[in-house]
Amino acid sequence: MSSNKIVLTSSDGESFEVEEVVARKLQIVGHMLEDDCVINEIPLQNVTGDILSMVIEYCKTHVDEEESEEAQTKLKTWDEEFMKKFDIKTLLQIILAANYLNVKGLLDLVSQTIADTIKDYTPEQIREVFGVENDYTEEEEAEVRKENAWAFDEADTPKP
Amino acid sequence: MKISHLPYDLESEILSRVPTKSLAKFRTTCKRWYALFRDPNFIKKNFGNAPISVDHHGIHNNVDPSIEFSGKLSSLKDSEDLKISKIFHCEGLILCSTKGNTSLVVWDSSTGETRRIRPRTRYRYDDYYALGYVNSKSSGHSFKILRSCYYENDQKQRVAEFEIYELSSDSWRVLDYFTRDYGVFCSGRSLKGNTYWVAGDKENGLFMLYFDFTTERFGRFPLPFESFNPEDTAALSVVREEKLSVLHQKILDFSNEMKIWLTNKIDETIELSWSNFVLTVDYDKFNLPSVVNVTSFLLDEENKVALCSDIDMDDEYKTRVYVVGEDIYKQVYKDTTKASYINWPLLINYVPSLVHIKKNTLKRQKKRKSREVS
Repeated sequence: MSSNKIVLTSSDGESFEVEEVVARKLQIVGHMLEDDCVINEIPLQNVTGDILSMVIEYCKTHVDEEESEEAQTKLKTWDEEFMKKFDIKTLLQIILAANYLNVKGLLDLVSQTIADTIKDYTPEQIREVFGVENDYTEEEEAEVRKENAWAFDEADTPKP
Repeated sequence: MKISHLPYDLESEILSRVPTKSLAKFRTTCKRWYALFRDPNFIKKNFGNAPISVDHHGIHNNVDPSIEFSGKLSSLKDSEDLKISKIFHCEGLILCSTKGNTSLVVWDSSTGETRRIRPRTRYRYDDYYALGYVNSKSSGHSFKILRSCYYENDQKQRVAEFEIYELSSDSWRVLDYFTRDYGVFCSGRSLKGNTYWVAGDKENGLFMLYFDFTTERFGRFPLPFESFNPEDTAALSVVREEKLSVLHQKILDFSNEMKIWLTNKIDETIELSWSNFVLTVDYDKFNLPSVVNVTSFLLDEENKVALCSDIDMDDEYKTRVYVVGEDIYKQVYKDTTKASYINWPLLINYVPSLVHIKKNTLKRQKKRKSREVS
């Protein structure tokens, strides 16, 4: 592998110099390099510096993915610890970045982390986080709520 | 900062990883999500992500024709595996009666939720059950269970009982206008909310019996073959949730021929007609070591093959599953342990769904008068 350095520039003008192998983990960069192999500075319009630095941190860690079980376990632990650093709002920004920059592994990791985080949210919290409008009328909402009452009597043990 | 620009595909990627139980709660978020959670592709993806397993292989219960589950009936308090004696599938919901017919449970295996259904009087060993629904455009499916029983009372008279349970009102009522003068020859199959069986009597031989859950009436259709031999093998199967197929074997006729017919599309109005499709398999061609007596099958109409299952009479009643067509026979599964001749295997199309049953939120209303069948 070449040890070429590539400079990635964020939308707010922050620059990161990374090795080409790391930059290639961002598939968007990979495609650009294939199209024209002489670039060494790449502007990334849709991602801010603070988020880009986290994506780069992920890519650096995952740069050589070894097959061995030991290495996989180690990476998994690292992933878990890495995800713990972020609140839900940052996670949503990272997933947008991972989608734009096309980093498959990070996309999977963040999707799962968000899913695990929001599973205990109330619909109100979900709307807040996802910026979704409640378009139900009160009656409609009550109707759907009723549907949800699958509440199966846990206490419904058979009579002796 | 609100993220209001998450593309839909990312949003759905995330939501598909949320446990189904939580999704049910999120349906009140907005209408778009409500629709998303009913999208078959989404459901499939969500189901694929779920840590659930249903093992239809462990068929070891030697009391009833039964199937043992190692799926998670998670809301039941005791974590022991339930012993299931009868099973009926309808729209992602599974109706199970437990060993000895002591209780009846509706199980949504995609959410893991269960509802135990109390009997009106008591369940009997020879009950049979069907789960179906009435499709109403305004409020979705309203599910019902048909319980039917045919037994000899203390006065040595044959008595038939029919009752309907409605999941919405959590109550049974008696249907006392039926008589029973036929036998049922295969377990029921559900299609578009209604249930179909192969039944027969002395006068007509075998015919197709159905129960219309909307009108709560039985009806009959002729089968594409004639048979007056109660020892014949007949089985039903649903094809792509829109057609029925019937399998027939003249098991005592020194013929090893099996035929499968297919209906045209059937909708809620139950207009049933037989298509020109026929799959004929002559098992003699394959020089098999033992007789094939199919108890359950699934048809692949396009490739003209069927996945069939039975028990090997010559090998300790072990369950086997095989793919057959006009020119092929390929065994794909065989039990490793000894079984019993009453352990009939069952193959079903299982389509996970997010159907949720409305629970009666009102205080229990006055119980309907129920009349005993005498």
